[in-house]
Amino acid sequence: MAETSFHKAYGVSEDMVTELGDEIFDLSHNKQTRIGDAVREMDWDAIEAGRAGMGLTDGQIAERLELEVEQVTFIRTLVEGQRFHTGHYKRLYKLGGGKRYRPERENE
Amino acid sequence: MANKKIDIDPGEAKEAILGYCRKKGALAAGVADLEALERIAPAGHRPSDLMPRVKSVISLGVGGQTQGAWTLPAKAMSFFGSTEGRAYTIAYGLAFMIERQYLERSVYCPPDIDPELGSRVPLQSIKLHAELAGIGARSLAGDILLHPEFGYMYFASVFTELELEPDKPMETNPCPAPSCTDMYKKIGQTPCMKFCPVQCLSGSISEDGKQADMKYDMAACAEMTQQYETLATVLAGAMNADTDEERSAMLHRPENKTLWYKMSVGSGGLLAQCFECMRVCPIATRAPLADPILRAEAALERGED
Repeated sequence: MAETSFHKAYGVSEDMVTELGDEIFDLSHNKQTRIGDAVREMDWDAIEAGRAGMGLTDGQIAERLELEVEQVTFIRTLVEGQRFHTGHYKRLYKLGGGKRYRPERENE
Repeated sequence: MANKKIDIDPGEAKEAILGYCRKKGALAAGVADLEALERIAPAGHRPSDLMPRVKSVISLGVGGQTQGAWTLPAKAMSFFGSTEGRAYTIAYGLAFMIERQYLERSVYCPPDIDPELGSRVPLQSIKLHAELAGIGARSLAGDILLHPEFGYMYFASVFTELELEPDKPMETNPCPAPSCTDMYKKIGQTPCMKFCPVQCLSGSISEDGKQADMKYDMAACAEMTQQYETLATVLAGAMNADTDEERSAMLHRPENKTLWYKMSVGSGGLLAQCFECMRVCPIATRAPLADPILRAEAALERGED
């Protein structure tokens, strides 16, 4: 993808997107892992320990990667759009009424 | 606001507020611990970031669709499966009720995205409010909150400068149900994991039948539940098409024409349209008071009309 006026406005190069895009995406709450049931149990140590797994905010990612928050937001939202498969949605139309999703039926 | 102050009994006020929620159709309501919310929610998404003098966060939940809805094809559910509008209506009215009755500033908490952060980051976590208010517990289905009696609910929140005694989170988590644990022991997946159309759920259950870990690929889930995110891609594809025919096909193919229909009629079906994990969840579909039929049967058993 070529650099745009938006890249310049946020101080982001395409090399930065290539280099950091996946890492920012994976650190964000696009991927979430929760260990146990810490919030319900009000287990403060576990809540703190689990924060990164549940996904970091753009501000927290920026701090970790030494970037500006706006740069992280720009890269994250760009990658979210690039990774979004528009074709998966039609899978829904075949489901329900007693029929459940089966991966093996994908190529039928 | 209030220059005039009135004597308020916090206990009576809380009872009246939760009673209002129930009278208007909420199945459950509670008050979240504000101090805990402020500590758990990240900066920028704390209640005080929205309402600096907030003293209480009230959370309420309404029931999901009718029992009959679960028998319909997913493509029908995609238009009408959600019932969150009812929760928002109650919360909106509650904010007015508190201001009128107790002369304290109150506001319906917008359940929407933070406009500075794209399409996947909410202003507030309504889920966290409900969890701390004790009206739902996180499930293996991407942390969707479940309730042991009411199953799957939709939530809304009200922020107020009226101080109310907070409730506690639920003592036990109904997820996983025993039948889900049995399936997990056999195939390493629960029903919600197995039947997700984009396989966005995974996790494990401990020997004592509790959630050990929950993994949620929210980006994959968004492909089924946030159809509005498709719009930019479709429009970009049409604009960048090499030929008029390609452009026309991009805009007029059946699944994309659905987008224009939904937008033109203002359909809420552009978001949260996939129910496949909840469709196979025994708590969501078969909790004792999960739908109007079950609630009516329970009322009849209690001798109520």
